[in-house]
Amino acid sequence: MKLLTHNMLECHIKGVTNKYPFKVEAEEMENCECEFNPDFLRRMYPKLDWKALKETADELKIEGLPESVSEEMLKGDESFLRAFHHALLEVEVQEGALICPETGRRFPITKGIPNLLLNEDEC
Amino acid sequence: MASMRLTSYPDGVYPPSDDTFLLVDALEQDVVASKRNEGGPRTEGKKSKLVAEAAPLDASEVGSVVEIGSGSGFVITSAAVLLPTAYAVGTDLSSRACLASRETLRSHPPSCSSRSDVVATESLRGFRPGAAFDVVLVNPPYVPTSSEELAESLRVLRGRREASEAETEGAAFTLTWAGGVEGVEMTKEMLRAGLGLLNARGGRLYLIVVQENRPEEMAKHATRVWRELWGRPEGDDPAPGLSWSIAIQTRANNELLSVLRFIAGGDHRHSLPSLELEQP
Repeated sequence: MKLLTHNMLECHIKGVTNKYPFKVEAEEMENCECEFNPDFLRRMYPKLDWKALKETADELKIEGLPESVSEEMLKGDESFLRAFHHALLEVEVQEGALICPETGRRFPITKGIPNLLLNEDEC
Repeated sequence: MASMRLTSYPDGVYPPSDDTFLLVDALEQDVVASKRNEGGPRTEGKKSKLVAEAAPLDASEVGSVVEIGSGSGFVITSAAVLLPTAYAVGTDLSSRACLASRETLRSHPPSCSSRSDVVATESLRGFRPGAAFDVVLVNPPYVPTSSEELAESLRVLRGRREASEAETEGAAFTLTWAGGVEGVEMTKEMLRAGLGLLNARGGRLYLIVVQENRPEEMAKHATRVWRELWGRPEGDDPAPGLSWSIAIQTRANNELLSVLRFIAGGDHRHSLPSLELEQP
């Protein structure tokens, strides 16, 4: 699971209101090289919750992300774009869990796949 | 067909079939039409077994694509190949299918595996609304069954704490085809989820249907759902900005398969190519 995907997910247990973002418990992480594409980053940026990405990256000790992002940075700050690219696409959590911020429910991540399936009493 | 090297489909995972290929064909014809800068009707062969009408899609404009029920991963991987700059996500409720999807994506490096992820979930549950995808692909379980058959499989799946792994995976496999009454119960659920996460500006959703699902009724249902999602439950006008058409249609074995294509923010063209397929 990439941090891009983590950024798109929230806890969907019935009745939970504080559902985002999941806290990431990473037991095993991998670096997966990915072709650098600044256009992709510019297109994806408006869909992201930057605060969640920044906090999660900090917790996973992925460096180089600023607190906030300006238009100029997105346009042409290569060192920023590289750090953004790396955090978003190249870091993969292989084993671990997503933790619901409200209930503490653990959703396991196995072989890079987060499992958000609920049990009957949670739907 | 996008060039596919290896598709993983172990026991219990729906193997790539005619419906799978047709869904990819629908997407591919639109991407290819954009490159050639042409649309319009197209038929193949004299005694046509296939009717298709492209709506050009510029691949470089597509930022994200998701497939609901990615199974073997054939479709989502083909989409990742056809849309080489898009973030591609597959979801499936079977853990076996999730692994197969991931395996297939990983067999097509470097770009497919590095821009993609697989999430185990029902439909698109757990994706936040802001995730809005540019392309949504759905090949739902469309075979007409009883409601009970469908409900029982869902019950086993959701009660997985009490069920064995074999029972759970068995239920997941039933859900690859069992569609409930008229085969549309799951389709409607997936359609609602897909429309709810569709980029309202030019996003498109491709949905496989068979004749028993009554494609035109399904399309009308979709526009009703779209209106609801956008807070306009009443009125006879078409939903603001959701057009639909049949992208491609073919007969495979005993099934008349169609791909419905919905475009958000598009014109209100409701086209229905007249298909006079020869009976097999």
